[in-house]
Amino acid sequence: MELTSVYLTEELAGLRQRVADLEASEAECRSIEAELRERAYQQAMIAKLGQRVLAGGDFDPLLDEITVLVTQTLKVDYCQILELHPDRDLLRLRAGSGWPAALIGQATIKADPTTHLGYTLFSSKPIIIEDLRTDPRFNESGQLFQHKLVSGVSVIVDGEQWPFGVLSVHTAHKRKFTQDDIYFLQAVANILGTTADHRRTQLALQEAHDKLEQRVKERTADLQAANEELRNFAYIISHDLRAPLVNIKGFAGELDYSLEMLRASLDHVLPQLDDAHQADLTTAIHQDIPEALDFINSSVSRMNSLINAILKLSRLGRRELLSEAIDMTDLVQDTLNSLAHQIEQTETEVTLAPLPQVVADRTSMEQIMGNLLANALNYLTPTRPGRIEISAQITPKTVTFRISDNGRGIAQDDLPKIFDIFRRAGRQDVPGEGMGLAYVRTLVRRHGGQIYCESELEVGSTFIFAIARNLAEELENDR
Amino acid sequence: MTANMQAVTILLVEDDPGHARLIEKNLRRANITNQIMQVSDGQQALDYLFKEGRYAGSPHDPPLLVLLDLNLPVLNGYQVLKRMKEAPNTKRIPVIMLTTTDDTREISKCYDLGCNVYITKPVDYQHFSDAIRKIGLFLSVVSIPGGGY
Repeated sequence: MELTSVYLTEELAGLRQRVADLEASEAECRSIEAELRERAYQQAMIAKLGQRVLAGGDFDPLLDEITVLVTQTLKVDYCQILELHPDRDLLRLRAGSGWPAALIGQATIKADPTTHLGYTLFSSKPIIIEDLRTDPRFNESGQLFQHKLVSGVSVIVDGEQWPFGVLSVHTAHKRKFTQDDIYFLQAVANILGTTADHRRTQLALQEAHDKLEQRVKERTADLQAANEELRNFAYIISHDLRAPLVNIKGFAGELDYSLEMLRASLDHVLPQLDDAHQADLTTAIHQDIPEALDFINSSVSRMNSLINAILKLSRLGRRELLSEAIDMTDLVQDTLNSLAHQIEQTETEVTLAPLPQVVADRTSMEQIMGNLLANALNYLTPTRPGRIEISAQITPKTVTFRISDNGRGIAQDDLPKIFDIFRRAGRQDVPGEGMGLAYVRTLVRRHGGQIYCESELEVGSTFIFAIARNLAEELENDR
Repeated sequence: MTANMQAVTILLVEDDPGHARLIEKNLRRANITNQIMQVSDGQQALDYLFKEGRYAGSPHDPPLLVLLDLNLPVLNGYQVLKRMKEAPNTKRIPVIMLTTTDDTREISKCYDLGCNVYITKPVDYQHFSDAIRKIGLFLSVVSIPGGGY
């Protein structure tokens, strides 16, 4: 009975212990389960944040969302993101949940280790604070909200080159943070750091792009001004240079009149002179003075034609272009018709492939085609029948014309200068002032295009020029 | 050439003394015997026409016609032409623009402002000479509004 009683008592105690143990382990289970649930929730939040960041958008709303998400997930009173100033002496409150709106973007904290936020910058590990008010590591007096913050965790938001700043959470009462809480905060900080780096790169790119754009604009404006100046310059000198020419030529003419009078009197005067003086006077009046006047006159005429050429070029550059739809096949055919006599004489075979329609200035197109085709005919080789081919290729915005001949060709050394004013290449057996291709280039450029030449001496030349398919659109774009 | 015409003056507004001399020589060759009054800037031209400035109180009659250059110091040819055509006393005086400029827009502008003839000074002297002589011929047959302000 005694024994039984003792046994039973022990048995009972054992059972009680087991019940207590079971109860304890059930509580532990529940606690572990809660912990697991919490961790799963935090991980879900991290995943959500990751997706949110990938979705992009403005940076500031993202920071606000992060502080709200962290506050809700960790159930804290305050969450703040502080950005390190480029001078690295201050942390500025960039976003905050639980903070007065007036402080956001305004409030700053010294970025040195005397404050817990500053200290965080210098630490690679999260800083955990049980009670900020009594923590011996920091002197928070005079700092932001120092009287309201009790427990907290702060982590560095690191960047590739330098830290973006600090992310921290706080409570207004004492609170213990779990390892999971700290991992969570660190994970958010990592995502934030990567995003900030990405944004920094984007901003730098954007800035570089803007600067480039600005420089292009400035250069374009400079070029336009220089072009304008050049055109005005050509215009002015062609006028102002003409005035003295009128005088030179005019007074040379007056000298000529006077010379006529002298000549008329010469026969009366000569018999009164000795032989030597007679010879001198005759030479002067019949040879030297007329020769000098001839040189003056021919030089002035040459100069006048040069001035006129410059003037014409400047006018081509200034003339208002009229956009109209032009069938280039018709236009080139008309040009060929006007050259029919020469084509027949040189027994030239002309191949005109179908050419597209363009919207361009008709007079310019006539001048371009007229010049290039006349050149092709003028510089054929007499030793073989001429062949000229005209064709075109189109792209969405441009049309490229090719005019090929089997003429005498242009030496490689001469090619770069053929479009310059007053420059002529090769044998000078065809009259011309060396302006035709300069006019052509000016007109092609005004149509938003370019011209170049491929040539081989004694084989032939090909002139290739591209212009905008629609001049009206081109002019609109230039505005 | 009538006696009436000989009595009156041709106003030549020309800043290039060479051009002025050539114009005068060729007018003489065309038997134009009128007095040629040459001034070398636009302001002087207006002073002469309106008897202002240095010509204040001058007893001269208004000119038979004005030969006017475009590129002039102080006031240019347009300004002179405009003032002349706006003023009742000078608007009927024939104006011949005689200039090196052959830009079509500038020619139109002069006609718009009321010039009677626009002539580009040819660089070729034979042409220049012919042009001025033709002005002389033109003067000998054309009826000019009577003088008097």
